[in-house]
Amino acid sequence: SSGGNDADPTDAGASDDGDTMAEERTLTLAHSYTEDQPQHACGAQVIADEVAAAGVGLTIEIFPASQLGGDADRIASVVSGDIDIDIQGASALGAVYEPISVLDSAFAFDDADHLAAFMASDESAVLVDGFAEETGVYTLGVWSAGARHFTANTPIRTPDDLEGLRMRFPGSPQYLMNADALGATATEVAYEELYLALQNGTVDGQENPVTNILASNLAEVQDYISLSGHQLNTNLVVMSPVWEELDSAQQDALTSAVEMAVTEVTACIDETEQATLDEWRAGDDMEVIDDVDRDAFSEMATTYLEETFTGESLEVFQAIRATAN
Amino acid sequence: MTLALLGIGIALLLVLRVPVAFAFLGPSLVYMAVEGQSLGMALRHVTNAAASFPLLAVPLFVLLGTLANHTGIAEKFFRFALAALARIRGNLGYVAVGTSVAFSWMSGSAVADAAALGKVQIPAMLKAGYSRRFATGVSATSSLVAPVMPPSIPAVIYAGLAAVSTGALFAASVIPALLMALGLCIVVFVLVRRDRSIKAGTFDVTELKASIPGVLLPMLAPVIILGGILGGLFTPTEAAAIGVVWIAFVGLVQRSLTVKVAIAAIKDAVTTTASIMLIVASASLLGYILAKERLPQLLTDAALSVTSDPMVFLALTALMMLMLGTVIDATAILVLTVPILLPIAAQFGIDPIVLGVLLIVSLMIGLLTPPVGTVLFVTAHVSHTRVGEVFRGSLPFLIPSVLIAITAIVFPGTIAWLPTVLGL
Amino acid sequence: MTELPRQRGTSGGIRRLLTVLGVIELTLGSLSLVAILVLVFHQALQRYLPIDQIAWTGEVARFSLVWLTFSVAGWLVTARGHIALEIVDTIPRPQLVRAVQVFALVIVAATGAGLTIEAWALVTTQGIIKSPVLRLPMSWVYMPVLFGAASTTVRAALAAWDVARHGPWIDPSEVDAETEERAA
Ligand code: NA
Ligand code: NA
Repeated sequence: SSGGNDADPTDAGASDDGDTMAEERTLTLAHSYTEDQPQHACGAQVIADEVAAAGVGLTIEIFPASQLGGDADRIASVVSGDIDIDIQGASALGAVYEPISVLDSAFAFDDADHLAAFMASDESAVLVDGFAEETGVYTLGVWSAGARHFTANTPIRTPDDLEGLRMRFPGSPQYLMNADALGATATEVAYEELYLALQNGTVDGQENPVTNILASNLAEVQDYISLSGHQLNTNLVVMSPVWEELDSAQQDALTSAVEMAVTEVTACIDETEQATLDEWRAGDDMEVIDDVDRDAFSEMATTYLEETFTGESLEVFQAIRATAN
Repeated sequence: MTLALLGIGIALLLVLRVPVAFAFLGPSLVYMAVEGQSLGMALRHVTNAAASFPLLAVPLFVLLGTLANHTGIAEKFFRFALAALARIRGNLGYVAVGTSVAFSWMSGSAVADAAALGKVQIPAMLKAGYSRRFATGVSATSSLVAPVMPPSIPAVIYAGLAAVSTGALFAASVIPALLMALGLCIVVFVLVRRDRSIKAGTFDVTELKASIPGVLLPMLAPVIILGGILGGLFTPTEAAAIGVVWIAFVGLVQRSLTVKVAIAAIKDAVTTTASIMLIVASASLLGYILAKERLPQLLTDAALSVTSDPMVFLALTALMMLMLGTVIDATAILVLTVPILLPIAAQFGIDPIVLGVLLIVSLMIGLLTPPVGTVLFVTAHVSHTRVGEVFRGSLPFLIPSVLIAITAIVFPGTIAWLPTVLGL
Repeated sequence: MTELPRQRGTSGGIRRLLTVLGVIELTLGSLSLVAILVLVFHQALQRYLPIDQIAWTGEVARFSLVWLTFSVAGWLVTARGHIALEIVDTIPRPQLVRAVQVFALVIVAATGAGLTIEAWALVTTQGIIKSPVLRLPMSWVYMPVLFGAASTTVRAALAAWDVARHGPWIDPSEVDAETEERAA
């Protein structure tokens, strides 16, 4: 008979004779973005391609557009090992490890370079190691999906300009804390209803990165974008405890693939943002306000946050500020 | 292979009368265990699907409908419409359509409508000498206006799945719903003309005056709900809550809302919501498995290889909805197919709002076709008529719905027209 | 609504227990529905009235929808409120109908048992995951789900035993319209 031959070299059991040949592995990578958003095209896809090119026996299978569940559902799946790699905003990850949401606090980072410097420094170890210890989830990398800016039908140059405006903020604790820190009156509206709510005046304004504002056509219903850049929209590439099972070649391949993706996403987003802002400056849909008094917002927010954060969260906030230029 | 096994298993369980939610959940749990997913993962996915913000409008719109039903608003509309149209030949046919349109602003599902209005409309028509087929047919089909006209439970579920604005989908549905009603009136006109035995009644101005106070306050509900959404006062979910509070207020003013009535309406709403939500949540787990098995990608590739014409794609989609709608519950079909259809529709450049209206209209026709024709059974039950008789009576009245589905396929711009005018 | 005819034959003690259980289930479900109404209404009001913004209204309303759904899942088994393709019931062969109904209820009971095990796993492991706003341990959120799953299992098993012993459930033409009303 042909079956059951112990000497068959293709038998899975035969590969444990040495570490010269790594085990073939397929990792699932899930996220919530559509296939034309930079997080997928310049991020997830780059990671998959780079890892495949490395030839270390790793294949990455991507499940975009929340196919494997919503944010909260997926991070629980990463913790339990049902999803291997996931891309999420820091605030969503706060559900399993609260201090991580500090990455999304107002004026934590000056810009994308500051984020990169923080992640490269020893200061970020507090966060990354704490996250891994508490949950077993390993952080492969962090990128910025752009800075968040205010839009409204009036320019917002100083904290006083927010007076009397109902501003939509996402409904998570860090974002609501940011609203308080910036002196805004936050109101809750689901992202899908934001366009209609702004058009009708259910809310007066909102804050989002340029790419989101573009994707949901908010320029049609808002007159001004004020470049406050009050918060970096961070995305973390995180991995389940399966990380520990990879051999060092695989870990290296994955790490450098994510590094490459961080660079690519940052570049893609920068390009889209510049093109979009140029278009707005040239057209009549949305007026771009450049002379926002960022120092006034920053001073106000930083004072508020240093008084409000406690314990580990305060440590993380201070660690981030310590790496600013 | 796995997909085929899963499909056959679910179909078998459905035929063997396992409730839809459990026919989905059982094989899904087996799949998760076989695939070595961690314990609890399946149920976590199911509960997360139920804990969705857009779906909060479901229990509230269901409660709005049960409250309107239990406080007797359907009867008040019927009395008013009858008094107003007294002198028109075949008036009860138009009254049935008109009452359904008025009630549709407070009801998000056809079944609630069929039950509440059938009890009033059908006996009145039978007493006036209309044929049983005509009476049950017009009553059953006019209840299909409710899930198309805002507020609509299927629209809320679609909007949640497709991440489109519920308000925009509501706005897009108003004209198709009114056209459906107009089409029903035309069918009534044609059928009544042929039946010489139907006579007109006599107009009684005191009866008309007496019936007005009963409908004035309830008629403000659409103004408050849709006006509130489009006027920017509140979001669709909030509008549902405001609508409930308004109808409760009307019930108090009209002295039709007692503690007993409130408890009955709440109990009805709880059981209806739970049976809908269990299907939504379990279908979502099945959808997760289909995504893991790469079915959406397979079907997208297949669809693009079959046709490059959006119209052909829409026609095939509508046909598939009609066929699925004859055997599976509409909610389950939406949850399973929308995540698969959306990316394909995007490839074809189809507006997700237009797709939503088309899906809802085609699926609602399925409520009137055996073997799973919920509205058919409810109408048969409340009128003590055989199911086959109701079905035959409904056939001519289904023509307008089919025409609207065809219009949505051939001229998608007509569906997108109102939201575009409103700038949505 | 009165208890349904399916409980014919079950002993008085079990019947009373199921009645009490039913009251608890419907009360939990109704409280969840009222909570959703109040929380969403409050969210609308807080935009217009000078009342304090409460950040957790959306989160608790979403959890309430889960609690509503699962707290009456078991009750719906006994009340025949779950949507099913009941065409088999119209076949004029009572023995066949009885066999199919027992099979369906056994599947529901088995699925319920699977859900109960899953819910137990969540209650015991998900304490580490906190809800985003209130930071409630998610294990608490799953407790009513565990209750509903367990009730589904017990009620479906009892109903299967009942049908097996006393013959099939009544045919659809006699079914209370209320059962059908839940379908869309
Ligand atoms: Na409606
Ligand atoms: Na049907």
